[in-house]
Order: sequence, then structure tokens, then C-alpha cells
Amino acid sequence: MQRKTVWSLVSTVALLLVLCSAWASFAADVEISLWTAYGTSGAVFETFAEEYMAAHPGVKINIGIFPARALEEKLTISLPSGTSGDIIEETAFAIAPYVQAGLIAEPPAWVKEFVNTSVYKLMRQGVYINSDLLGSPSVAGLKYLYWNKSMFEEAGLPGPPKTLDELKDYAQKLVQYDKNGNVIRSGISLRLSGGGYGVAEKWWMLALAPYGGSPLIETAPGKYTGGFDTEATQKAVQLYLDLLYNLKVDSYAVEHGVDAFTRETTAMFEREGFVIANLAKYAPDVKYGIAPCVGQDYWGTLCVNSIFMVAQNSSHKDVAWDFIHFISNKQNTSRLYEEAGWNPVRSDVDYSDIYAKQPMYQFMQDFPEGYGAYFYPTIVPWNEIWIKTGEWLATLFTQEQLANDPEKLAAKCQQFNEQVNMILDDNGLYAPNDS
Amino acid sequence: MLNRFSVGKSQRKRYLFIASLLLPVFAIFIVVRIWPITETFRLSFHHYDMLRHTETYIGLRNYSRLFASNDFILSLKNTVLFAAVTVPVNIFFALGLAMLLQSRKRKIPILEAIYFLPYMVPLVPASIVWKWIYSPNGLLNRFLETIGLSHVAWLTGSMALFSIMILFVWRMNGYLMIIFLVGLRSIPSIYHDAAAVDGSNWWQQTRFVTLPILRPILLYASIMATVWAFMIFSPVYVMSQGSDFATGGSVKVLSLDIYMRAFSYMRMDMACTEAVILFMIILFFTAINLRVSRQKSVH
Repeated sequence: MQRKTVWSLVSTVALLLVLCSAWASFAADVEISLWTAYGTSGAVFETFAEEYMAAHPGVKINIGIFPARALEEKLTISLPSGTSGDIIEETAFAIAPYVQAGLIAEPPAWVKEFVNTSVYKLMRQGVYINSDLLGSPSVAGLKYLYWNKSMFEEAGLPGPPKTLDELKDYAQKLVQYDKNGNVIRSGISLRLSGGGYGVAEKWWMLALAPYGGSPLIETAPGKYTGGFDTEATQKAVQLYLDLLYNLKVDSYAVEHGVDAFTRETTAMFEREGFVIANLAKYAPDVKYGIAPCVGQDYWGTLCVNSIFMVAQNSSHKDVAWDFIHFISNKQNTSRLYEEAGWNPVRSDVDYSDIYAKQPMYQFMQDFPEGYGAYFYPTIVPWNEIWIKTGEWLATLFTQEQLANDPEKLAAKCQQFNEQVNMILDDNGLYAPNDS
Repeated sequence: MLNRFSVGKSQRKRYLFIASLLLPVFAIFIVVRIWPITETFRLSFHHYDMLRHTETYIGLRNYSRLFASNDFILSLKNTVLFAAVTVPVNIFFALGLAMLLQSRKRKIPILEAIYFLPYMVPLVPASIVWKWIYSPNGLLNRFLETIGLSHVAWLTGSMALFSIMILFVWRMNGYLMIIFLVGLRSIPSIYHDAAAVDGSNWWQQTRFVTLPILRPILLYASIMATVWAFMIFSPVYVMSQGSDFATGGSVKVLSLDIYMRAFSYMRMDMACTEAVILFMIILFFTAINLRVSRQKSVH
């Protein structure tokens, strides 16, 4: 009996050893992973990974695609614990806390040269935190106004609105109602609800920036105060309330955003360039145009750069940067642009082939004279401030009684500004505005 | 000679054997339960930088900051409202359903299975399906359209919390119903027969016979329903994600706020503080439940 037990133990251990060595022989010499939150880009990266692996036997590349908020939450645990992907594609403002904690590796020399010689000037600021270069820019997310040409023609409108005053006027002419007076086609599609900071971001680009406002005001070098108690903020919130309740050109009971534009239940909305690829695939018959964002006191676009960065804990930094270099070459930049639709960052590539296949892409690179760009602040508590702004706005927009009560609205803005200042103060970043 | 405190060799071996089997279990229990709980309490009194792993003792500052935070107050209000509505609704409907099923002369087990089915559906996929049902072009609004009514924004503003309550009651009711059914079936029929002979009607039998005997089960059900309500997370998380027709922050509850503080705002210390407060709240309501049910069972 004892002999049988010993033999069975020995044979089990031997079997395990054989299995382990067999598994080890299938494992690559070098294995790296790339984490991204952009589904359309991620699919293209998988193709790039296959090509790279074919050219580099012994290298295995895993592409991880996550929802945007989920990636941010994953990084919170994985970067400090050293278990993150080797390459992370993220924005400067999302990665700022990790950079300041020394968890992101410094990029090699070729990246700085690449940024200074091959990247659009408009987009360069977005890859730095102060003067520290974060990584190699992958794509940019500039914003555009999408407008339905058929609906504009039907309403007798000459073209897309250029100012907020025109936008309000046009939206009233474009909206449609059912027999009960409910909106069935919105004149302008607003982002009214949703998780994360989506509501805040769309409000900033459609309303706050055109009115000359900003979520934070720098009062001293590296010190800020909240920008929510200004006249610009109040006008920006009032705009949404007017569109919803006084002019009734949008409603909670209809679809919004890309889905609404695809299904032609809205006449216009503002979003990034990826919508073009989306429309080509799902709604090729929709006649639409794209135009620069609407202005008023300020005219420009929010520019959000995605950046390839390498985690400090990566044990194959050289391979990781080499793969980034491969993705960023001229040919792959073109392919990424064509298939994913985000703004390419390279100014030294001829995109005429792509424009021939998809003429709408040409408008994406059309930066008119005087059109500016603004960027997210790269402070540690920015994520918290911006998510809370989104939640605050989403709640505010549901309060119809505020639409015609400017005093109460001002009080709400003041109250929220105090919350923002508290967060800044908690992080040692607050200084009141003495002007 | 053995004195009564000495242990024989074979007994010592047996105790050692038991201890060696229990030790890994206790070790795991301490690591995954006790240590995280004590760390949570400890971190609530510190400022903790989770990226640099540094901490500074700050006393009650996290607590005072939390109570000054609008998000926390909103989460607290939403959670208390959620529990205040769903707990009695769950108990009332589950007990009513169980009594209805029990009152049938001919039992139909398939009906019990159908009522229990929602509980077997995992909460995340159930929440995704309900989110679609509540969407502007979802099942509910389409139904309203066919009967000539306007669409409702089910996941907007204060309506959103009630929409999630419906989902929550739909899912948990089956489980509570089964618990009550087991309790009802364990009541000897002799009590009801005796009450009937005394001239009691249905309501009197329910009030003076059924409910007192069911007291321990009612206590269990109300404690569980209270804990579930205060710990609600998955449906709120699923419904608030995404862009269109997502609830956003209007339905923030304590557990979601804790999650966001820890993983979105990187404020693990504040998340621990809020977790301690949630723990105290649940403990308080559990204590109230126990006190109210302190009366001895008729058995």
C-alpha cells in the first residue's frame, strides 16, 4: 500500500514537470501587453501586433481593450502594484497622478524628435505635463459639429451655425414634435446623462468654452481656483436649460449622440472624428457635413491627445518602445486613420489616398484661421473634479425650475464651486482668485 | 494516574490533527476578512497616498470632510430612501405571494419556480437587460407608445432611483418568497384549525397565529433585505455607465460612492471612511431589527 502511494506521488510530480516544461516551450521569449480604451483603434492594433510578431519571432503582444472608465479604474490598482500592461494608451490628464508618482517610464530620445518634427503643432502641448514629455502621441480627439444636410435643406438653412446664437435659432427650425408636443427629432443633441465625465466634456466644448469660461482658473503658478462661479459658467448652464425647457429643442425621452445622428433623430451634435467611420459603416445614406465647433466669445476645439506610454514596471521596455515606433510609422498612421477615424498626429504624411476613399476626412484636418485648441488640466485631482462636474451638471439639467431662476442657478454654481475648491485644497492646489 | 486536566496522548494527537486542518482555514479567514476590515478602520484615520504607499495620521479629518461632501450626503439620502422603500415592499410582496401560494389547495411547484427564476439570473446581465428595457426606445416606452402614451425618461433624475428599485424588488422577491413559504409550511395545521374552531377569520389567524410563528423568519428576511438594500451596487453601477440614457450620478448610492472614491478618485482613505460609516449604519438597523423582534417565539 505504501509503495503504491509513493509511486503514485512520483508519477504525479513527473507528469506535472513534463506539463510545465511543455508549457514553457510554448511561451514566448518576450511577452508584452498594450492596454487601450479605444475599441476602434484597438482592433487595428491587433492587426499591427500580428504583423510585428510575424517580423519578430519570440515576441508575443497582447492587446487589451477596455471601456474608458474601466481602464482608469484598472490603472489605479495595477500601476502601483506593478501589474499593469507594458504599454498604456491614455490621455495626459488621466495619467498625470502616475507620472508624478514615478510610475511611468521616461520615453527614449526618438520620441522627443518625433514630437518636434512630425506632429501637428496644434497637438504638441497635449503630450507634456509641464515640460515633461510623457510618451509618443497615438491619435488626437478634436471635436467637430456634425450637421444633417437633408434636414438643413428642408428647414431652408444655408449651412452649419457658427455661433451659439445661430445654433439656438437653427435648432428651433430643425426640431420636430409629435401630436402631443413631445420632441421626436431634436434640433441639437445634447449630452444630458451618463457615467464618468462625458456630460462635463460635451458641455465644456458646446457651451462653456464658447462663452470664454474654463473649469479651473490658474491664480498662481501651480495653484487654482474653481471656475464655476463665473458669468461664463452660468451662461453655459443657462444655454442647456434654455435648449431643454424654454426652446424645447431636445428632450430626455429621445435618443442622443452618435446613435441619434445615425438614425436621423437629431439634426446636429458635436463629437470627435471617429463618427465618420461609424456613419460610413452603419448609415452610409445619411447626408451630412462636418464643421468646426460652434463659437461665441471664443472659437476653438478641445484637443485630447492619446499617448503611448510605457509603465515603469515593464520588464521589456525596449521591445515596448520598438512596437510603439512600429505603430507610429507613416504607413501605420495612415492605416489607423482610415480604419479608426481619430485625428492622426503626424503632419508629415500624405493622406490624399484616404481623402479619396472618404472625402469627409479632409474636413477633419481643415483648421481655419483663428481656430484655437484647449487642453485638459493635468493636475492629480482632475479626474475627481471632472467626474463630479459631470454628475453635478446631469442633476442640474433635470431641474426645470432653474431655467427661469437665474439667482437660484447662480447659487447652485457657487455651491458647486466651493466643492471644487475643497478638492483642490485637499490636494494643496487651491489659491483664491484675488482679482 | 491522569488528573482531569491532563490530556491523553491519543486525544492530543486528535486535537493537533483538528488544529492542523483548521489552521489554514483560519489563516485564510484572517487574511481575507479580519485584516482588510481592521485596515479599513485604521486607514479611515489616515491620509493615504495609494500611489506612493505613504500615510499620515490625521484623526477625524476624513470624517469631517466626508460629511461636508455633497456627494456623500446625496449617496446617503439615496441609499436610505432605497432601503426605506425596497425593504417593506420586498417583505410585503414576498409574504403576500407566499401566503397566496400556500393557501392554494392544489400546490403548483412550477409557479414557485417561476417566481424564483429572477433570483437565479446574475445581477449584472439582469441590469444590462433592464437598462435596455428602460432605454428611450426600449420595451417599456414602446409599450407606452402603443397605448398612446408619451415616452418616459426612466433613467433620468429622481425617476432613475425608482426604476432601479423596481429591478431590485423583481430580483430579490423570489428568494424571500421561498423563505416565507418554507416558514409557512412548517406551521403545524393544528394551530390554524384550533383558531378556526374558535371562530377566527383569515385576518385574525394571520395576525395572531401566522405572523408570531413566522417572527424568526421575518427577522431573518428583514435583516437580509436591509443589508442587500444598503449594499446595492451592481444595478446602480451598470445603469450609470455609458453615455446615452445612463443614470449618471443622480442615483449614486453609498457603495458606488465608495467604489468611485477608491478607484476613480484614488482616495482610498476616504473610501475606507465611508465604508466604516456604511458598516455602522447597517449595524444600527440590524440592531433595531433584533430589538423589535426580541419578543419570544410562541414555540
